[in-house]
Parts: sequence; structure tokens; C-alpha cells
Amino acid sequence: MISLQIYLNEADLNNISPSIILFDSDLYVSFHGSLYGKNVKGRHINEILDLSIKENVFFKESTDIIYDVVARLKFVDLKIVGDIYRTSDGFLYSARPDVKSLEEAVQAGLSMSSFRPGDPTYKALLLAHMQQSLLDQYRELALRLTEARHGLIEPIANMWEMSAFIAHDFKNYLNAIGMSADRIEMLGLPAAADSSLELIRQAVVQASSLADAISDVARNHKYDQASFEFHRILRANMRIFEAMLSKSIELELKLTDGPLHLRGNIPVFLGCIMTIISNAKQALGESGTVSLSTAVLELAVADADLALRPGRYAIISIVDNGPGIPSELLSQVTKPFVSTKGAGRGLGLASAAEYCRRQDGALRILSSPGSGTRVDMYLPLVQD
Amino acid sequence: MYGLIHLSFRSFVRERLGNSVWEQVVKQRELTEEAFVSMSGYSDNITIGMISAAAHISGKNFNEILEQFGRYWIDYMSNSEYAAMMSFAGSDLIAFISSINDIHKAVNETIEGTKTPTFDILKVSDKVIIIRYKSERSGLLPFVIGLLKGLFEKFNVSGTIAPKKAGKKSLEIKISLS
Repeated sequence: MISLQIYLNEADLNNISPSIILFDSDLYVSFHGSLYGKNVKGRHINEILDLSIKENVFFKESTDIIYDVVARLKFVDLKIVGDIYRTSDGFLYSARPDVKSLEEAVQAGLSMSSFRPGDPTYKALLLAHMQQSLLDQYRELALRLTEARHGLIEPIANMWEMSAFIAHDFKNYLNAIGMSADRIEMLGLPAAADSSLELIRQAVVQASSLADAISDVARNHKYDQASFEFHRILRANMRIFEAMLSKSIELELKLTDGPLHLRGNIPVFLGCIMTIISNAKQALGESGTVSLSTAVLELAVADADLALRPGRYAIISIVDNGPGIPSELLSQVTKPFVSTKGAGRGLGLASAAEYCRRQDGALRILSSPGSGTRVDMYLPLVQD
Repeated sequence: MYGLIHLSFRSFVRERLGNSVWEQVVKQRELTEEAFVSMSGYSDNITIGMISAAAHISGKNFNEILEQFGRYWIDYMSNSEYAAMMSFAGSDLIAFISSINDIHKAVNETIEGTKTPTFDILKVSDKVIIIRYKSERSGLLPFVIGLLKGLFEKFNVSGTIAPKKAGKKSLEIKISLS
């Protein structure tokens, strides 16, 4: 292994005339030159140039004069990489060139003592490592805060949808109770039971009215609506979405050309995207890929499966390459309180689906065990 | 102190003194997650408060806890996301101690307001290393002794560590290798 290290005095750098280059031995190249009007020969060898061959690597320089020196060293097979740095003592140091990160340095068997004292390379490696650690820390912190914030906002944002769901399901149970009361009456039980059945029926009617009232209030609740361009708000919030994913989960974007003008409630809509990304992250665990893509759908005839009217729709797809959702759960995951995560509340996808429905769109989930999960949000495009 | 110390101390207490001790420390010192952002700087009072509480709750001496923690710190860092940095610092005791100042400089340049100590090697012979430890903080000698013992374990060496000359904010420590 041969390496060449150059240490230059900055003051001399501009005055060097590298007219004479002598190759002394296999292990040492010395430079004999002259400053303008002043012979520097051996006396300044160490002050001006110290070329020691240890590796078959040479360092890239930032000055023409060094290139000139290198050009004259034709007898050495040199590869120019790395940089020369300016240090506080006025010297330019060549640096260990082939190492771009502290991890690489360690893998190459290097430690700080492998570097010449004052060599800025190892300091740069340390600093870069520290700063990367800092970024990672803040990324994790951002994730925790985002999740905490999402955890607080989501229930409030979804309150109306959940009220409607609960009222609907509550009415189903009430209907079942009412029908059972009818059946009991048909069995011809003793007269003493009649008054109890009557009480049950009255309670069912009253509770049903209450459920209707809740349902009406919930369904009549209007989001604040605004027009927005999806790609723009996506980019504005990318850091939050990225922060939601761990370092080893990649977020890929595949966006269609042109703007996607939508109408809706931006915070609730962003909450839906965050929910789906959060689900993808939990499905992936430690590593994997989440891709967010957009497309435009021109629907000439109504789509009965998705309950979409003819028109133009944006399709926002979030796809993960995780383990997928078991088939028995797939049709259930957009229902409230159904969760694949055990401890989850099971409100996220239900509210995302409800949001899409309210916007005259739809939400579709495609998944099978081992093949990841794809969530498509269909939302009507509006005129710019 | 920076949050990494707090993270490490939490881990130390949980592992070495038990979860219940840590839970009591958290309760007593009213600690929140905010005190555990590893690359943020915090008031020394928080750190000292944690250590005092852990010592009090576990019925151990403050300095004893501090030394054990210093020893643990080396092990913790060597197995954390900073493992590469620990390897980069050197593969033997002297190289490692020589590198600490540079690591601390990087810490200081990265985290505003940190005050890291310096470790200068004054003398090295086959069996004896004399270092000078300088710090803005006082009372952390047991932690430093623990650190050095941790380094003994890391580099598989044995010997004694003896504080020598004490200055106002510095201390010479003699390491005699056996």
C-alpha cells in the first residue's frame, strides 16, 4: 500500500515553483523547488512539501500548484481523491481520503491514532458522526411528538364520525332487542310478562330516538372546507411524514405530473394520511418501504364497488411491503374499533374511510398475507 | 450535562438497581421524557438530583453510585449507537484516553452550552500513565475513576488508579498497570 500525504505551508503555497522534482526512493518522494528568487531545496522540504508514500492513493487538491506537482509525478501511479484542508495554524493538510464516514473508518481498521495529529479528517468524521446522531435523535423526538400530537388530535377530529358509527351500531342493537321483544310476545308468555315487554319496547323507542338524534347531529356536522393542491401540502408536510417513519423505513414518492386540486378539511385530511402512514410503519416494524403515489382516474361510468359517481378523481395510494392483513380482517379494518394491532383503538382507518365518503370519494384497501398493504384514497378533483 | 448521560443513567439504574428504584427516582424527581433527549444539554441539577435520588432510594453512597455509573458508561457507550465512535477512539487504553478530548470537542461543537472535561496524558511509560483531568465541575472524581475502570475492562488490562495532585479544577491521576 502506498499513500502520499502533502503538508503545505500556506504562505509558501503561492510562491512555489515546482520546477524540480526528485524521486529519492520507493518510500519517499521529496520536492526540491524554489520560491521566486529564493532557493529552497532541501532546507524547506519538510516545511513546504512532505510527500510520503504509504498508499497508492493521492489526495485531491484545491490548488493548481498541487496539480502541477502531481502532473510531474508521472512515475507514480496516483489516484487523486480527498481534500486538502486549511487549519487554524495556517497549514493545509492532506487528509485520509478514502474514508467518508466514521463507520467506514472503523470498518477499515482505522482509529484516531491512524491520523496525523491535527489532521482535520478525523475531526470532520467525529463531527459528522455527532451531527448525524443529533439529527437521528431529533428525528426520533419529532416522531414521538408527532405521534403524541396525532394521538390527541385524532379522537377529536374523528369524534363526529365515531358518533355516527356508534349511533348506527347502537340502533342495530336496539332493533335486535325490539325484535326479540316481539318474538317473546308471540311465544304467549304469562300476562305478567306483558308489562315488562312494554317497558322494553318503550325503552327501545326512546333509545332509538336518542341514537337518531346523535346520528343527525353527527351527520349534519360540517367540516370547514377549503380547496388545496395535494402535492403542495404533501411537500409542505413531508418532514412530518418522514419523521413518523423510523430511519430504516424509506418513504418513496411517485407523484403524477400536474397539480391535484382537492376540496376538504386539510387537518382532517392530513390526519387520514398520517393514520395510514402510521399503520404502514407499525406493519413494517423495523425496516421496509412505504411508497406514496398519486394518479388521476377518469371515471366515465359509476363504480358500484367503490360507490363512486362518474368524474375525475385523484387516487392517493400508500403502499407498504409489510406482512399484509389477514383476509378475515381485511373487510373489517375500516369499521370502527377493529384493529390489527391488538392494543390499537381501531378508529384510524374507519375515520379515513368516513372522510373519503363525506368528500364523495372512497377508500379501498388491498392486502393479502405476505404481499403488503395498499390503501387507495379516491377523492374528487375540483377545478383549479 | 447532556441527555445521553441521563439516558445512560436510566439504563444503569434499571439494570443494576432495579426498575422499582428507577420508578421511585422518576417520581421523586418528577422526571419527564423531556430530560432524555440524548443530544440536548441540561442543568447539572437534574443529573445530580437523579444520582442523589438513586443513591438514597437504593441505600447506597452517592460516590459509590457515581463510580459504578462511570464504569457502566463505557459499557453503555460501547454498545450504543456510538459504538463506532468508541471503536474509532482507539483500540488500547492510551490511544483511547488520547482521543477523549477530540470526542469532547466534537460534542461541544455539536451541542451548544456543553462543558466537557479534558483528559491530558502527561506521562507514559510501560507500566505507568499519568493523566490530568480538568473539569468545570467538581465532585465527579468517582465517576472518572469508574470510567477508567470501565476502560480497564474494555481493553482487558488491570492495575490501580490513584488520584495524585489536586489543583483547583484539575486533578492528576496515576494509572499503574500490572
